[in-house]
Amino acid sequence: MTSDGELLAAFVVGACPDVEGATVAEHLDRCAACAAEAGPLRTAAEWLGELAERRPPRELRARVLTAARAARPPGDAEVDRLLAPYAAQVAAFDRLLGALDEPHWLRPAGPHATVRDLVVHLRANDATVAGAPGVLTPDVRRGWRSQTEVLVRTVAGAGRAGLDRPVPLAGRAPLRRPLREALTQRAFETWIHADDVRAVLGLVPEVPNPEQLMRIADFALRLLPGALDAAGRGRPHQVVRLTLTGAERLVTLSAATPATGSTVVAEIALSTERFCRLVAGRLTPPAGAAVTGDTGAALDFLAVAATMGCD
Amino acid sequence: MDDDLRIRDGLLAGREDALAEAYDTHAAAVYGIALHLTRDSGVAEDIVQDVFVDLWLRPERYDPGRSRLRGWLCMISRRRAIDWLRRRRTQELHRHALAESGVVLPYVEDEVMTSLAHKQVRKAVNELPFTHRQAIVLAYYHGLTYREVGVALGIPEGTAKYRLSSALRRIAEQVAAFT
Repeated sequence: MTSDGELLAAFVVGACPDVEGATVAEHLDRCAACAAEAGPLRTAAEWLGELAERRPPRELRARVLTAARAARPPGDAEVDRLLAPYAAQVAAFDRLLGALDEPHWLRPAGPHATVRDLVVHLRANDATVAGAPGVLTPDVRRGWRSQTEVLVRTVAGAGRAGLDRPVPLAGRAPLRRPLREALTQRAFETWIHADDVRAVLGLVPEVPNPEQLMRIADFALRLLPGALDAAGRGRPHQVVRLTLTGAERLVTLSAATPATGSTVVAEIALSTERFCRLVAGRLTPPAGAAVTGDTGAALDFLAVAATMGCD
Repeated sequence: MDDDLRIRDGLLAGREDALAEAYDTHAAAVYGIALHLTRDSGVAEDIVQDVFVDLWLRPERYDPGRSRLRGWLCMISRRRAIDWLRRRRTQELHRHALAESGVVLPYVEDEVMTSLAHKQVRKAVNELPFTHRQAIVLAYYHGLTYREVGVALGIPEGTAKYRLSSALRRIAEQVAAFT
């Protein structure tokens, strides 16, 4: 069909008879050369459509929004508060992937052999939350991106009640936690991998806003006592006072005992950003933390935190 | 393009403000093309409603990597308008199109902001050879197939197809120069 470029133009403006149009559409799905040729023609046709611009009656706006609301209820504010940081990281990561050329895709990124491997890894981790696979495609960027959309759509659709549903977390330990925590983890992992790709491109690292950083830190701190126990380094009845950027947390060194009635054995101070990067396995303990008190307990705390990453 | 992506992400998350933004930014284009084709404001309003409710229900269908949101919405609006037209009698369609001599570009109200890009596309269309302009306007703004263009103009369908194609290619060249 490549010889019939004229038919392609007719198709793009919807001027093919139905049966013929279907044949062309089918062909375009399979033929990259024709699909590439159709691109600029389609763009031109879209611009033609805009020439007819005319302001609709004022009352149509309310009618359309009401009909939309009836067809699909708007998302919940609480869900949006958790989804928005994730969606922002996804958009940023997608832009970075768009800036990569072929050789970049084959460069090492973070602990992964190639950027490609990193995206495949991220996609596999997202899948535990997404619940359904995205478009199956050999294009890893599109595959990952379409799956993130399934994830966002599914989470938004389930509403506030869905946030408490337990889902598997990514990482070495097989943990199930409420979806709200898994969403924070997805945003966290996507941010860290975006920074891995920034390093490949020679760009400076970026940091989420303080509120989001704190949410990530608290997510990790909830898991840390259990991780210490699992690593055989749990210390019942002992607590570490952790000073982050503008916040302080008391963290028990074993999930077996509560913080109340335990003794503060060590104090650790480091920025929230560095703490998050340590948890992601991107900094080596002690990661520049200021430690006082029981150094052994503090180093156990930092060493186990550094094993909690997703890759 | 970043705005398109942001709006789409908002729609996926079910944020109503994203839909309102999409409507406020693009409804005039969506309505305009539907009205131009159908010449019926009631039908055009229904089409606008369908297009935006569909966008809200299935935002994932829009691929920001392939087209601008406005152009994509216009294409859907146009397709729906053509479907509506084709459900009516073909004869009537031809007469209606020919009554316009098939060379009139949509009239843009002064109150609607038109961008420089708009002006360039309009200029590109106006600079086409008359017979080519006739073919693209009949097909694009009146919803005729290339066969119907041939019948309407009394030319072989191959010629209609050729004129249509070379007109669109010329416009595409101009568009490529400013995008």
